Amino acid sequence: MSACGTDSGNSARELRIGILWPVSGASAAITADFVAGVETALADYKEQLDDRGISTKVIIEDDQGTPSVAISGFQKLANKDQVDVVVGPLNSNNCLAVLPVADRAGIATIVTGTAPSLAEGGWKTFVRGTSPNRVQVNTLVEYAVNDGGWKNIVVIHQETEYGDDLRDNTITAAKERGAEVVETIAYAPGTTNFLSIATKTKNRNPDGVIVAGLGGESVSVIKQLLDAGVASSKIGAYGGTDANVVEEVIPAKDRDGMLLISGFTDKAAELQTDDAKAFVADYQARRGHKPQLYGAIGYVQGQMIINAALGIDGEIDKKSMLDALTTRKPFQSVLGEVVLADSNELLVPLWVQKYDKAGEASPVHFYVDPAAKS
Amino acid sequence: MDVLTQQLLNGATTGMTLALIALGINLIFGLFNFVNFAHGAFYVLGGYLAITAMSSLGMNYWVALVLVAICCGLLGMVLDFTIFQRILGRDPNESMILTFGLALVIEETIRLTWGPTPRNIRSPLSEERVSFLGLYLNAQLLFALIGSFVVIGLISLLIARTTFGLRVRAMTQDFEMAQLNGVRVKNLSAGVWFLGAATTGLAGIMILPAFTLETSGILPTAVMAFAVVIIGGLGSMWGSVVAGLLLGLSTSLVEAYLATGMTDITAYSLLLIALWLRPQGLAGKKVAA
Repeated sequence: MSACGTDSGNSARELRIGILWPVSGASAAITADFVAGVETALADYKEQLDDRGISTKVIIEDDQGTPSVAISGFQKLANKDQVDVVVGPLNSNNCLAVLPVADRAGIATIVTGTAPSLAEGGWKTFVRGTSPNRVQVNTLVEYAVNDGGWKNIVVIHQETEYGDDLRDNTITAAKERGAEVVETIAYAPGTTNFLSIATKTKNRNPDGVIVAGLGGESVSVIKQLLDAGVASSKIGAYGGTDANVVEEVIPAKDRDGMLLISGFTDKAAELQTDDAKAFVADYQARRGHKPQLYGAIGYVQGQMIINAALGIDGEIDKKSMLDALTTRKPFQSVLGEVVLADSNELLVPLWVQKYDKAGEASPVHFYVDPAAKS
Repeated sequence: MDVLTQQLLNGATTGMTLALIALGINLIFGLFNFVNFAHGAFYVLGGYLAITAMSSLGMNYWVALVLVAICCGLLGMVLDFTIFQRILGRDPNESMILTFGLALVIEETIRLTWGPTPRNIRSPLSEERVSFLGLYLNAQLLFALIGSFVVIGLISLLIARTTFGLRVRAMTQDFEMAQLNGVRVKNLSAGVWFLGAATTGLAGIMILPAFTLETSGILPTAVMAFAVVIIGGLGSMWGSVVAGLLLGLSTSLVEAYLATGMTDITAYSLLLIALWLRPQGLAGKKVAA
């Protein structure tokens, strides 16, 4: 679809990165954030890559959020573009479609899909470039129950493997903390009118409502919940709900007390490193707004690939990249220290961000998965 | 007020806005038997043009409302002159395939022009909430509900009481006979396309400030509006209103009392039942074989 990089040749020290994300359709906005994150990482590490004689080339394929398109996109990246590593897909359904093809091609595939079945499939090329769902669920539920006093929770979720898994994890996480999910409400992907769902939720009068969706869709849910009279302080959303979109759509006065999950916040003292500051500045120049979860995840996945390539002395190819990527060496990222678990899943620490009366978000809670600590 | 009343209000709002979107399809499909899957583009484009008019050109919402409707109407005329008139009267499959492709082209053009990030149209009403008798409604949706009635009423009057309307009705009833009696197809076609596209663009700028604006709504909007037109009966605007309300209320009640995520199943089941029991539509007249 498009390509950019520092060299067009396919030399032994050229690193070819294929990005297989939904460039068009409802998730296009988060794809743009994610790609900007990867490109920012490549730009920030260009000097180190040059020193090691490594040139890079990025080829972007649109999977259109559709499994069949994702498969053909992967095949094109593998056979025509001969990439050394694939970043993507985003959606779990597409990841499930692509991983068997990736295994046959022997190309490391850094997926962002969070469904547990991806890690359970036994694919040798599987790497999850973000935390599994349980991490974002525990981050939000821990704060909402312990600090927000939410005892009765309604979950509104997208009817996909991603949304269903978030729902199931939320039920478990709430139960473990003495709270209860009193109702779960599903909606089909592509829905724009949530008036009935909002009324149903309001009528339940819960202590809190958790929105488990993606992109603009979940922000629409939040907007219509507010219109139905649900207080903003009773609303929380998982990481698929991007803060930039929330701030575009929901007026500042209506955000007071709302909770969002993010992998990155430049307001957290723990993340005020020089690298993180440089990342924020570079990313903002590239994208026109501050990085949120997907921009930061793109950067971290870029760092993963760069670290792997820098560790290779000989030829950079799909085999050496797969070996290097699955070496479990913790590294310092803009999200803090990240670890690749035995299941080849990146364990990223996450934050709860809370909006104040002025509509500004600040980090209020930090969560590290127990597996990452051990 | 109880949940049922709130759900009925939600359903009525959804239904009336659907009827307004279907108005343009009704005019064009009724006249030319032309299936236009790109019709939803005028709805989405109405929203994006409003953003440009308001944030880049500094217009207020009410001026933008009029200007966007005119722009969409003119775009409809341009598409009619450049594309649609060339395939008029040909195999309906051609118009379906062509307009399906056109919808995708417009969707991607909008995405490239305005960017992929979901947007919000801030009107004077979109951030206000109306609360009465325990019922809640976004003020923009209340405006869209009332506005839909007014616009549909005005277009009905135009079709029923003017010479232009008389010609449209004549062509809807017998295309060739109307031509033989001196009705100029090209002029009338331009007028109908202007009206159809303008009212759909107007629907976009009236309704979308209450929701989130995304590029991906073109095809689903067109297909749902077609369902309204078919259930209501071709050429009948008030049939579309009844069908829109029927669809809006049914989906709202099913989502409230049976299961959520059932909007499409409910809507298209209603379409199937309508085609089975009354293929000419609720307000349509049965045509002898």
